[in-house]
Amino acid sequence: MADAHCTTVQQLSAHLDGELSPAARVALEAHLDGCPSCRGRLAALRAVGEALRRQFEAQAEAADFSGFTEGVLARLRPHRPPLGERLQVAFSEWKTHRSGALWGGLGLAAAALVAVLVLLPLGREAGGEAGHPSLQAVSTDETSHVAPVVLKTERGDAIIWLVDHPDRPSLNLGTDASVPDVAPAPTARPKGGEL
Amino acid sequence: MPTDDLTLVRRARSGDQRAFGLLVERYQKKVYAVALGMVKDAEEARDVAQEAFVKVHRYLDHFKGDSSFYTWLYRITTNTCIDVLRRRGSSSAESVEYDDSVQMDLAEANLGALGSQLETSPARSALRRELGEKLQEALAQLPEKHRAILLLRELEGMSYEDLAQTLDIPKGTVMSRLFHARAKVQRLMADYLADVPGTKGKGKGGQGSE
Ligand SMILES: [Zn+2]
Repeated sequence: MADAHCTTVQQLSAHLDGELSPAARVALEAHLDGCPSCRGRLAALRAVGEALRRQFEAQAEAADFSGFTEGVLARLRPHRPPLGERLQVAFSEWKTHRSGALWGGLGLAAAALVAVLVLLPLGREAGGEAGHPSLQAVSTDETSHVAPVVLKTERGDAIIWLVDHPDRPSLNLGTDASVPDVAPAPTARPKGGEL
Repeated sequence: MPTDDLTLVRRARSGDQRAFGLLVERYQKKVYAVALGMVKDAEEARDVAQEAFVKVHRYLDHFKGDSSFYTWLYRITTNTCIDVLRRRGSSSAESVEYDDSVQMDLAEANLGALGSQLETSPARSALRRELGEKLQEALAQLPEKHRAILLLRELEGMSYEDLAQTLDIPKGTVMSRLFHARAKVQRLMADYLADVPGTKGKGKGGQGSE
């Protein structure tokens, strides 16, 4: 008996959610008019949904949320602008002072810096004043624990270094999708280089 | 008038913790309810819900504003729950996309009474509590992704479009997962009700005698 209702039965769930196309809905309702057993199935589906809703809403309503928000806030790190923005600032400061204070300006612990600096000729012809690197692009790979930062100069050189991202829990982050909407990976790829 | 989500997100992003606190208060019950459905234990659900908010704050810069805040929040919530279940080792096998035992066959059990039995009525409170426990047990038998989609649909009333976006799956998958999740819970509840005196769950054989 259930076989005869196969298509219909599959549609009941979507019908319940109001997600059937108008045509499918009309057809289904016509079937329901003449079929008590499908009406029963629909009622049962609806009952399960309502039961779930009541069950969990009642429990959430009864739960004690005192201290909940405070608990969350206490676990927050002070919010910092993204690494890219911090780099922009740090780099312009570095250009001004030409001292070694770049890392400090980034607000990164010295220990967080894993590897520094590969200089790569990327084969682009120089325009403008040579020897004055300026920040043209910064990209970080947000998904990796150790993030490469690519800094392109006007001469076409690229400086790449790796930053151990302090905001990122190292191993246990689990499902990648819990960090949605990540930036794309950096596009500059090393073509070999010298230190 | 309450400040809208995106305004609060913008403020939180610029370092305003109070704004983030308002977002937490706005969604804590809902996030907790979903977490409870996922991990079952109340204490753990509270922890998971807090953890989800902490993650939301940590990744505020990744929120692009092209989806609504709440779909993003629930995405992080369900993923956090799934992580916890996996860490705990109680995650159901990943390969179980559909449970064959359910097939296309929706039980015709008389579950219409189920809803009213869950209503708050002192005389019924024992039964109500037991039904609640059975529901949680039934939920726990679903693959975690089916559990997540069912909870988001039933508790949050999310549209298929929003579900597809939140869970990053095609709309067709939303539809079939929801169907299978419901069919399985319904079957498990029907089996249970059939054994409860006074509720007379009917297995097969149609509704009533008309
Ligand atoms: Zn039918």
